[in-house]
Amino acid sequence: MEKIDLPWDLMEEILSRVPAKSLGRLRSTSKRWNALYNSEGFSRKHSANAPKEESLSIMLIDSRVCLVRINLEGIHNNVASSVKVAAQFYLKDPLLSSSHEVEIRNVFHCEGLLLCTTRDYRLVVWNPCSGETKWIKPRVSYEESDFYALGYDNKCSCKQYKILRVGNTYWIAQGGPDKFLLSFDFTTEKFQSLPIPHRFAALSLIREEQLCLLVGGNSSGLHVWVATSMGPVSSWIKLLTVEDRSISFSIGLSFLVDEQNNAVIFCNGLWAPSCKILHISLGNKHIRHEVLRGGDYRESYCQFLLNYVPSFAQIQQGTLLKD
Amino acid sequence: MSKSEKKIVLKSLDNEAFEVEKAVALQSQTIWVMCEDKCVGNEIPLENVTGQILAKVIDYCKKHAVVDGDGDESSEELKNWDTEFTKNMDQSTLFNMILAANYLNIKSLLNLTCQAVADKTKTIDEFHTFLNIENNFTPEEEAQICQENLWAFDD
Repeated sequence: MEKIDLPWDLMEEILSRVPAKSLGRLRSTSKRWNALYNSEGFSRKHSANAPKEESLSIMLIDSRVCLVRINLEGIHNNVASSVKVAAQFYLKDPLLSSSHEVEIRNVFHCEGLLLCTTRDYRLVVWNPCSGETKWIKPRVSYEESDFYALGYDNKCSCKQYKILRVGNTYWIAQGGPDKFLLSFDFTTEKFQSLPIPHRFAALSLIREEQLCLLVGGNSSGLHVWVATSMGPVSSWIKLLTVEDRSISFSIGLSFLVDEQNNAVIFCNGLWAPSCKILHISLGNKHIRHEVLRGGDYRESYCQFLLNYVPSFAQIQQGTLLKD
Repeated sequence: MSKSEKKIVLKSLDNEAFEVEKAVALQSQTIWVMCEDKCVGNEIPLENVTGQILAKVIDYCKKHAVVDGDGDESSEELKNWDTEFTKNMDQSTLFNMILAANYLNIKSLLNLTCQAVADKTKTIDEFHTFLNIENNFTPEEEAQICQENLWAFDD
């Protein structure tokens, strides 16, 4: 069969319609394809043409970002759930030769870009799909307790990503005896505090767009509240309730909501005693899954369960750093 | 306008002739320009498209043409028809359809066929089978990228 010489612009048309994760597999095709993925024009075309990407669950396990497959199919009919550490995102250390990997301390997601702080106090914005990275040196070296977030200014036609550093403060913040929700507007660069319906709370996202709160304590069960509007006054509606006594509302708590199965999946974080366990709660059922990275590891420490949506979002040069 | 003036003959690379309604053929911007410029004897030679592919392109254009009140298909129906249209085409035909849609400048067909290839292609090998792609990575570079992207292969 005679092979076809497809003009480059047509190749681009096709590739811009392939889902980001599948395109990740095609990176090793040729240097030209690999370079394409890092171009701004392609990034824009892909976000316009490609089908909606499946949201994946990722977790930080033993300082590596790992893809985690959580299968709750049939769980209401007594089919056993499964949790599998599927694969690891590989981040090569540019300071070290050969195949040294970076040890990651914290990970934050925004539209296909991961913002990671490293164990040796560096900061990197990383697109695992295109392999693009941007290492950032904070103006003042950061501390272990610092918390970073990544967002963008939606007034610009091209997304201007910004990094936010919040020393000793959390999205669920505490001022005096009360906890409140601290929000930061990346366009106006202003903070705002909003009330939350319960003292013990943690924050997550549903469908990558809707803010949700996990609230509750030992006696009343756990409730997931979803934000219906955000503004000077936030309003919340209750999405689901599960019985659970194993949660600890400590700093490292992170969770995801499985709307289809009315389940809450959470990990208590490194500071909790059950830091090797991923918990699934639905109805009055509680399931514990030990997380193992595979290979020779006898035990693994997991933290920061979050959603990741592959994309070809570009990291622009000259990213601003706000203190 | 007489009946013959509403018809046009398209001639493929391998000399196959297709008589079609002008409204059908004019969905192609390329043919539209040719008709404006130098349409001689109502026959238009298309030097880049084989008869096999041209027949399919004409099928598509007939379905999508808005001719004297025939164009009242619902968009839902058209969408289903488009899906069926590309469903059973093999990759090689699809690539040739893309080239034809590009040459004839039929934007909607180009979008449709590009999407069809994108939907069907899951591995690098599928591209290498049909297309001339030069892999200029060294084995070491390729191994490095493969390691970085191992996660993308997990289903």
